[in-house]
Amino acid sequence: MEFADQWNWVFLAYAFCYTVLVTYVVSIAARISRSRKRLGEES
Amino acid sequence: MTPREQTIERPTSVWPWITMGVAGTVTFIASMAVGPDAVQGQLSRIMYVHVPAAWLAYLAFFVTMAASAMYLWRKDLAWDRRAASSAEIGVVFTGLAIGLGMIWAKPTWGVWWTWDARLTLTAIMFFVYLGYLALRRTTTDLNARAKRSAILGVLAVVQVPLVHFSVVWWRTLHQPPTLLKPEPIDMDTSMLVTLGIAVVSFTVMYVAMMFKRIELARLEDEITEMQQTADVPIAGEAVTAPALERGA
Repeated sequence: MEFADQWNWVFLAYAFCYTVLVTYVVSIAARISRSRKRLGEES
Repeated sequence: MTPREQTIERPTSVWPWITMGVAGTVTFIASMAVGPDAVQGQLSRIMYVHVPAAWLAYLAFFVTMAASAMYLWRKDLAWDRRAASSAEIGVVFTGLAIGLGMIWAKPTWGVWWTWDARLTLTAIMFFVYLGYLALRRTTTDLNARAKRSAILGVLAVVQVPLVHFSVVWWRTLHQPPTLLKPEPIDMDTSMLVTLGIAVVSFTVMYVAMMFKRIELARLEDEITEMQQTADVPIAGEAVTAPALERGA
């Protein structure tokens, strides 16, 4: 396999990994923010 | 100030977010700084995220089991929240381990997926814990939900050793364990140190995620409790009970 091809696979793996992690962390932050807002509105 | 007002007013800590960012950055820098493998070349860099992701899946499901057992013993919903938070994070890391494994498999094995014992058992584990998360959405009764999911949380952990030792017990395409094995680790020191840094960083990231996910679980439970205790007619005001005739 060509040297550049190997880096393409590494790039794909890291892009996938960090996209999943960042998306999940942002989803936790968004759900915390929404829940706090709902508690504030309904209490 | 009521407990609910305290929850809303309580300042949310930023340290877990910062810790997650630092842990992710450390892993990335360490895995790009180390040299390539003599056989796999640059592809070996995928190991520094694939192995920690798989390790965290094991750890998260073990924590789910321990917290579920604590709930069944103490009947304290705080343990249920810990179990559920860890299970959700575990599902994310299992999905990550499977996805990264597929990306690594294509250039090295020539296929994205094969029905190998390790891959198949990991996929089953992923779907069982997705089922655990689905089970939690079947009722709004917090105690019933906690009891049902705690039983599954304790039973489902049996898959973790099955997945880990599948490469030892069966002849598989997947390589044997890299770290958690009785024999001495045969890996170049620089690669081993980098893998160690990545595993520790991902574990720190898991702990930081747990802090935030548990905070979210507590808020969600408060919303559920608030909705259950609210003075709302069960069937709505438009529904009236039918008049029963005497002697019927």
